[in-house]
Amino acid sequence: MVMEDQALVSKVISGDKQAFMLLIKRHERIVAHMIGRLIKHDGEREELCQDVFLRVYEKLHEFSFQSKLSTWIATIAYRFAINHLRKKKILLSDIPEEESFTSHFVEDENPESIASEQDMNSFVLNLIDQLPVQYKTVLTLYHVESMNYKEIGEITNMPEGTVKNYLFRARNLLKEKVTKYLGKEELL
Amino acid sequence: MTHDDELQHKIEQGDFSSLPPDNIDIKSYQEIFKVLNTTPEYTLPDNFANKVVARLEHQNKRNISFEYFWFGFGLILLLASLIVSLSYTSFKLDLGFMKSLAPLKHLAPFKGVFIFGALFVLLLNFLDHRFIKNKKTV
Repeated sequence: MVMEDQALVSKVISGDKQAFMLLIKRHERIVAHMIGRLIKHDGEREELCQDVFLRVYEKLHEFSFQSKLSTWIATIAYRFAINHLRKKKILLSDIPEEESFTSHFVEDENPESIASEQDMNSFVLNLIDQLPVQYKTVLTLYHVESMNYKEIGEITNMPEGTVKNYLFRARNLLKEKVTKYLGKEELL
Repeated sequence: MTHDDELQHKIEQGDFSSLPPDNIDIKSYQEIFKVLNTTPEYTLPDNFANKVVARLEHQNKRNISFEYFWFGFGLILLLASLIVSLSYTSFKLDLGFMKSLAPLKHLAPFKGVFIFGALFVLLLNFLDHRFIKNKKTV
């Protein structure tokens, strides 16, 4: 795959339009998943994905194959998503204080999540949506893209230990909420 | 590793043998893993790659127009500066100095032109690097 990527990258750099389209087709899935999970507004997602690939094209000559091409593209997508959220002044600074965030997240029963409780899938998806951006990113890359801690760390610029911690903590937070819901369901 | 981390790890590995049956935490984690492992609904349209390439081509065209603009602007500036320099230094074209043994002596009165010329070329180079990026065409 690395050899294939190298040949593809060389072709794109030399101006092969078809090669660039192939590169997009190969990696649009991971970009769509990252942007799709981090950006809520449907109308902004596609344009942002396009911006990611335009940046990929612009910077491709700087790519030195120190990592996988998909990891490098995912890094660009992650940065674009974060910058977009910053521009929109959406709070994403740091993970909220553990204690307060946990209690807020577990106890909070906003109408949106209650409405979704009819269906477990949409209930969990709704909960994921309420998690901090860093948690959502780690969950998506680990579970959907099957990436390891090292690769996720490269993309998010976080130490492997932090990635692992966020992954377990995010799933634990979801579990607390789902357990509460399942407990309620059993009482009915 | 906490008990909860261990639980997550075992469920992820599919190792249910050592886990108690009908445990609500396990049931919750199973539901969560099921959703987490599902591919997100959001997908890009089939013609996404075409759209990106079309945008890239449009950008390239725009960049080429900008390059021509700056090239023209640079030429006009160069011409204007030449006219201003000539008018201020009363420079007269005299190729005879080439035959002279000490040509630099003849050029000395026009040192202002040469200093300005050098500075101006530096300015043009700066503008060139600052505003005109060498975009490769697709």
